[in-house]
Amino acid sequence: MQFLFQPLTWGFLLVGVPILIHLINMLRHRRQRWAAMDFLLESYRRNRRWVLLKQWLLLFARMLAMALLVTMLAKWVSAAKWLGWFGGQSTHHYILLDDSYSMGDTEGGEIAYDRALQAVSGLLRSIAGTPGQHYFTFLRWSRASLVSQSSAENAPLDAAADMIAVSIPQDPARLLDRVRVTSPTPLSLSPGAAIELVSPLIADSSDEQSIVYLVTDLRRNEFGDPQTLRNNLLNLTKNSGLEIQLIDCGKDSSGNLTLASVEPEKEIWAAGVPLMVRFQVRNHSAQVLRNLVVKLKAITYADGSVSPQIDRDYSGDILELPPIVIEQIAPGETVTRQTQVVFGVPGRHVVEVALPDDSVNTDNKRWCVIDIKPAQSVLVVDGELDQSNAFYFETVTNPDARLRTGLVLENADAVFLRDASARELAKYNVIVLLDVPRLEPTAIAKLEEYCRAGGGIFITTGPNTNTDFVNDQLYREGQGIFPLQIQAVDDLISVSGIGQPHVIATEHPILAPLKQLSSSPFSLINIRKILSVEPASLERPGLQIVATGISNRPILVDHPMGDGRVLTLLTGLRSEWSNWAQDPTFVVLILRSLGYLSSFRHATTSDTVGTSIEVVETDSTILPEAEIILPAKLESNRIRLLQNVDLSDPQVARLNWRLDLAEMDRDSIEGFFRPGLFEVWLVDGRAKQFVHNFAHNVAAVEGNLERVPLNELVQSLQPVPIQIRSADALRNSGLNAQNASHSTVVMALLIMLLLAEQILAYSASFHPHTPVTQRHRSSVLGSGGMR
Amino acid sequence: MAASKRYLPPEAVSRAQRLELKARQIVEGFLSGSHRSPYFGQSVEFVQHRQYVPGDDVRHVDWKVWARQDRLVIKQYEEDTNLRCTLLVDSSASMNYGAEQNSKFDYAATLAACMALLILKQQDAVASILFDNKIRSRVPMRTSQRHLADIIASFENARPAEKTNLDSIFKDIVQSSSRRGLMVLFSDLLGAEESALRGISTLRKAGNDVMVIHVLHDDELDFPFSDPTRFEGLESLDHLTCNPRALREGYLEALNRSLIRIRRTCAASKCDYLLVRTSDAPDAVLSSLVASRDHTTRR
Repeated sequence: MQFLFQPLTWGFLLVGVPILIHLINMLRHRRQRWAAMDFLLESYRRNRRWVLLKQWLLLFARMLAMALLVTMLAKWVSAAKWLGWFGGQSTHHYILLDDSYSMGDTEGGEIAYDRALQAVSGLLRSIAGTPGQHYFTFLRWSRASLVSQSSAENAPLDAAADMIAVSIPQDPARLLDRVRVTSPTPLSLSPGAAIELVSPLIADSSDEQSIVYLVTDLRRNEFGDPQTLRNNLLNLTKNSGLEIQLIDCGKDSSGNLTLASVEPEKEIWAAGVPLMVRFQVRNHSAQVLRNLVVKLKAITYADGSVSPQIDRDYSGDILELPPIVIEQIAPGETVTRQTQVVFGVPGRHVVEVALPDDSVNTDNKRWCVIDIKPAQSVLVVDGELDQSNAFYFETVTNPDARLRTGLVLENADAVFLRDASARELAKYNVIVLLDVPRLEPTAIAKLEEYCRAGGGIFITTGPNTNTDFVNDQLYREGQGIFPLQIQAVDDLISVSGIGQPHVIATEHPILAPLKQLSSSPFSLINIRKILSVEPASLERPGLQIVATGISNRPILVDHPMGDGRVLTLLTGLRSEWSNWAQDPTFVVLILRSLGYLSSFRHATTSDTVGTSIEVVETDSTILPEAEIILPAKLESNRIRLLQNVDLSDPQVARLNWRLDLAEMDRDSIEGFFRPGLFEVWLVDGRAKQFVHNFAHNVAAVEGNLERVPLNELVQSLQPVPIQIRSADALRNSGLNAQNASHSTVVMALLIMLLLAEQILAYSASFHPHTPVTQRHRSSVLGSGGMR
Repeated sequence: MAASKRYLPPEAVSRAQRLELKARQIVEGFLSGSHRSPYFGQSVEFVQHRQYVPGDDVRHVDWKVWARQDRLVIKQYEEDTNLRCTLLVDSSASMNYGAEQNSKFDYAATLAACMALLILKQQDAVASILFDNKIRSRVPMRTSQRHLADIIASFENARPAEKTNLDSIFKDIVQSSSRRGLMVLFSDLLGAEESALRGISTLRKAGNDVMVIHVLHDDELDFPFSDPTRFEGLESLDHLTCNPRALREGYLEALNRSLIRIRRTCAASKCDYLLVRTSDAPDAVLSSLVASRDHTTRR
């Protein structure tokens, strides 16, 4: 039994008042000396049972009346089905509000979210003016989505909903204040989570009329999966009496540009080495856009020289990069552009890309964090005793003292691989195996472990390659680091055709830049010997061919292993196998390959908004308190939060900042969802501040403001009975809630009970009769009396 | 207040002086008056002959009849005599109900005093007996006007306290009374209804003219109580705590049944019966009483 006003339930103690009054009356009786006791006792004997019964009934009726009065005042909210038989069924209004960032669309000079709030306001006011008992549950899609993600099983509605089963008063102003403080989030959302979250409550409330309002802008990306939505709604409508209303608060957009992605190329991320940053712009409008100016910023967070600055957009040093002009973007087209940035010092630097303002600004900015190291370490193991293969690598990676490739080579032999620990190997971004004839099983296991942990391995073959060893130990039926099963060494001198290039690049990113050239840069390459492979082994999952040769034979193959990658060159660097090592394209091949292979150990450059922030430092001297600076709200300073660092593990310091709806205040929750750069400042044992940057970007798909036509939506949701209303129409008109409340029923019962009590009291002679003694009076003198 | 003033209100006395109480039946008297006597004596109006029996006074033998018919008969004459009225006033505890100086006993004593005055004004004889379960006071039969003071003094000295037992009391009275007369009973007849009815029958069977003045208090007739009350018996240890409203109907029904039984018994015994309530004016009651007796006498 539940009551809206719990404190009033103390009023049930008043049930004892009638008993008390009865007892007091029993004690305060007056004494009367009486002559005609015989008649009185006779009357008492004749009426005793009936009088007692009436008295007990009267007492019970008065106690029940008190209980009903308190029940009515305390607003009984939970009732059994029988209340519905008396017309006392209440109505529960579930408002599920779309607060995805597409609701920030300012089409027509009005924000879609504001239209939604006004519709909710009109709805609440009209419900408040309707007779009967109404309850109100207000749930935003974002909260439902987050709670569902945090606890997939039995996600609690009370953790997500702003209001649950709140009684709607005559003046709902206070409720509306709580609704109006909400705003669109930068999330991309769908109604599924919200519907699933309220389903159990609706199922448990079968005694009341339920109305679910989906307040949304009806964007295609939100309702693009009608099958799932229809199933969700069908599950809801299993409950009898459920009504679904879809309140359309969106308008057809004239267009929106979305910055779909910003990310650095998989190259060598080292200080002083130019790095290409690629970004994509998508045109969601129905018209061609021209001369779009894209602004870029490079923010340098040099280790040890930057401190937290909350009054600036970024604590790092901001460098405005030359803007890039996109001449034209066709409707629905995605244009990719790239720019070159150079960070001269190591650090976790940031690149910001911004589009001009349009109807939805949330998706006009993106950020990426690039962890620039002083250099990338490469371990080279050469199978030739004279290190002739390593020479080519040395030449490529260190051509001149003035030229910086960001690569540092270390040469070692195969024995080192056997003896080195996993931790030692982990220091290298890439391990290069140059025509290594044989490896110890221990070394092979360590290499596989290294690769699975995200390391990159570059393998070249050659005259030292032992086919059986490769097939048995390195290929190992597709489980080893070697990608293919070798059949034999093919001599290509006899088969090479005149004018036919010996190397053809595919779409793989390593050689893609060379493929865009008008004439093939590989024309001077002469492949003399190559390993022929078992065709079936080419079907290995994830295997990609980077370059092919004559007769479409694979020359360079890329395949994944765990989190790492292995690039395998099926020819040799020595002249009797090929002359590629002397060709200029070899420089591109090696630098891009090493950059590509080293990229799999990089931290992600950006995450979606709402992602938890986790920092792991292997420095045990980190101080226990960290500082998190959240992205700024419009025209305000950034927010600084203090967060504890988990130092329970002596080897590792961890900081995990995740969403906690119960613990976090509203500003923190809003900040958590804000797109932008999150700076996590830590202090090490030498009191030196250093930063971990995290870029959180919105989901680009939400920027597509295409709306689902209403007839198409209704058609796709058949047979779900759904009623579609316009937000504009709801502003000034309402719904007709028709049911009476439990309180009304209780009041009716109370009135009936009081009437019964009065009748009972009258019947029990508790109310004086009209004097009837005239008959005795007339018998004395009027009739003469004698005989 | 003087006892004579208390029990003889001026308005009642005034009315009593103008009234004449007539006996409905022939009563036995020892003074000549307006009442016919059942005794045959020295009067001028012949009534009848009767057979002579040994022991009769030979002076009353009608010798003319003996001469003509040769049989001895006694000549009998009708003789007027005075009224012998005995006022029987119940002084049991139940008569004590009512406000001070306005109890049922006070009211009954008032009525009795008025009647005594009325009778004495007619030169008739009156006696009074106060009783409960015993005879508490007895004033002998007199015709003197000063005799009224004795009667009133006996009322004044009465202290109603005990139960009533009319049956045994009336048996004693009948046995101790040598002559028949008018017996006027002032009582509430509460406590032992059967005994009271038997007592009335006893008086009647002894040849007395019986008049029952049933005195009840307004409260007993109307039962106006409303608040929770503990009723404690005046003549018994019974008590009852109740809501009087709940029992009022039953009480009045029981009272009514009792009144009907008493009325029937009186009618069957050819006794006069009058129910009076303490709020009735005594002179009005006297007036009603005499009027009704006149009516029944003429009838």
